[in-house]
Amino acid sequence: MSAVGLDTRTSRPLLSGLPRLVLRQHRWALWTLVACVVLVAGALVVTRLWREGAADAWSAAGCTEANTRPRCFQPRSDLAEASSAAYAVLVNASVALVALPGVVAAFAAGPLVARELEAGTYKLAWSQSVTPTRWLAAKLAVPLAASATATAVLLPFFAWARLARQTDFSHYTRWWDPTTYATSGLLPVALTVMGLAVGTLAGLLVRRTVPAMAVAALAVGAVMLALYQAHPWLWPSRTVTGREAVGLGSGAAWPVQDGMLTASGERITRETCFTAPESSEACMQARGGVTYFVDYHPASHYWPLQLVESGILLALAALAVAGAFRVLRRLHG
Amino acid sequence: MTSVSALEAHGLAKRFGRRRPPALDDCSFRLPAGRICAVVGPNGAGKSTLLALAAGLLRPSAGALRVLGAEPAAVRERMAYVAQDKPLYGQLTVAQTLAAGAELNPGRWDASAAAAVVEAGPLDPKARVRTLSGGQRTRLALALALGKRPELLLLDEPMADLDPLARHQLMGTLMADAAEHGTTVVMSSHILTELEGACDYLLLVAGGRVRLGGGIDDLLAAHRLLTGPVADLAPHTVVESRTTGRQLTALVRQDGPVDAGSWSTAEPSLEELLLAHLRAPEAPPLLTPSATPSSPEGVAA
Repeated sequence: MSAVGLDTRTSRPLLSGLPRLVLRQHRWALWTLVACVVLVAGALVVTRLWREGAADAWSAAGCTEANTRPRCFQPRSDLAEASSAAYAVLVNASVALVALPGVVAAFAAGPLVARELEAGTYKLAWSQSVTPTRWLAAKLAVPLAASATATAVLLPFFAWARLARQTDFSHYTRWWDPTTYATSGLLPVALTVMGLAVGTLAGLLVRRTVPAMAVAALAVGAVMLALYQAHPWLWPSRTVTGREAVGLGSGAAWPVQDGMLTASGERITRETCFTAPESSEACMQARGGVTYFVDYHPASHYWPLQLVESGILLALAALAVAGAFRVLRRLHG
Repeated sequence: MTSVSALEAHGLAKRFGRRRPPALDDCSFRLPAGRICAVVGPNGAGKSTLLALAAGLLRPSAGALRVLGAEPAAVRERMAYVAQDKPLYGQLTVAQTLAAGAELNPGRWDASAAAAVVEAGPLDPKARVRTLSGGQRTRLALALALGKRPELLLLDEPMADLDPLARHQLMGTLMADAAEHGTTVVMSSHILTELEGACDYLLLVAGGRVRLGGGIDDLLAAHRLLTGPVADLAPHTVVESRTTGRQLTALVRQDGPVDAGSWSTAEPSLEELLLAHLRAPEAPPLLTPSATPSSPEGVAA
């Protein structure tokens, strides 16, 4: 059909100008990202389906964990193998997603920004009819769209993999496990955005590819570590005392601090008794502890915590982006 | 004003870091539009800094530079700039590089002008830029610059990587293009012969200052090469003088008639003029009237 052929030739490309140039320059990075997303999503799907199949065969054979009859040997080892594979894939994929902001930051700092400044190719871009400001905007927008989309696409796969039917040999994941918490909700996208912004700023400040990548990855690591340390305290926790406190910790509640209260209501945290030669209980009691307390976050605190943390990260990203444009303007007008 | 200025600098200075001497210091000059200007000077004289400031890639530390009557950043689309190292994206092909030129210069791009430069190479459109030789890179960089149809073309050491034949051919392309469209061209070089014959205007930059500025004919006409007995050369301004026994050879700026009886006079060659000024850094700078900037705005002329 000649009309159709003509149509496709004359239609405007989806992207033009700077975004298209950025895409052309970093085509391999984009394909690598797509390949990684497909690989991770595929591994999560395949291992969950494998585990479900093994669990079905297990229950169809009427086996339980306590049953040691010979006909249960094979389904038992199948299910154990599938369960541990599914869990290993989930954990490794979670670690990879947690590492993504650092990778994105190193990419933004090095290949995206510093390499242009180091090799002088920015001079080529800026002596076309584009301003440095628009150049930087395109450098931010295209990778932002790509990495945020990749993260957002992966999240449902993580959620689905964790929703697997609980059976014998299941590995429980809880909402507050670090690998679960950081690979669900809004946080992964906010982390990726922060990584890109901090990386871009590092690239503009350091201006040399390899050092810029190192600085960016370290900066993002520091931010994530600081946030991880602070995150139990970013939303007011609840406290239970007495008998209730003893049973807490094996359910949806996330205990963040525990210890004993003295008769006057003063707190003796378990940490203060960590180094005591006797047991920490004896130590706390010796200091006047009469009843236990636990500070915890109920499951309902998931979204408040996620929103506060994402807000902090996005504010940091906005600061870094503003700083990047400021550096650019100061140097090059 | 009789003509528009392509470049006009008032007290222009650029420092890179506090400790290093300034790359450019208190430069004032003017380049009328439509001229082909050679920016010459030794290595490290500040030529590249001057061109990068004009291209709007750097910010002046002091003073002002007007390009085509405006701030450099405001006339980005009306000028083209080829940096000394001919920066190009190595991962793109020749054709993709030209396509990027078309996309980044919407409404200005002249594909046939760019294609003509590339095809004369000849450059394979499918070749990756990183596989090109130095001369081929220069050709592609110039194709990008000419495809933009600039009013002002800034070329930093444009011919350094080219063999004599390609240099002659590309210079011819440049000159024909400039003549056809009235483009102002500014080319820097530390090798004068590269530019002699092509240029009609000169800026000599040395030690971060403009030492000579003006039409080449005017500058040559303002100087005389004197040979004769050792004597006081007043009232002429002596740029450089050398004595061999009782014989004196001097390059002077004439002030009134020269005593033709005792002196043999000749118009210096361009090379003699430049070398004399480079050897004598204490000689006062000279700007011809066309190269003298108008009074800064706000100050009565």
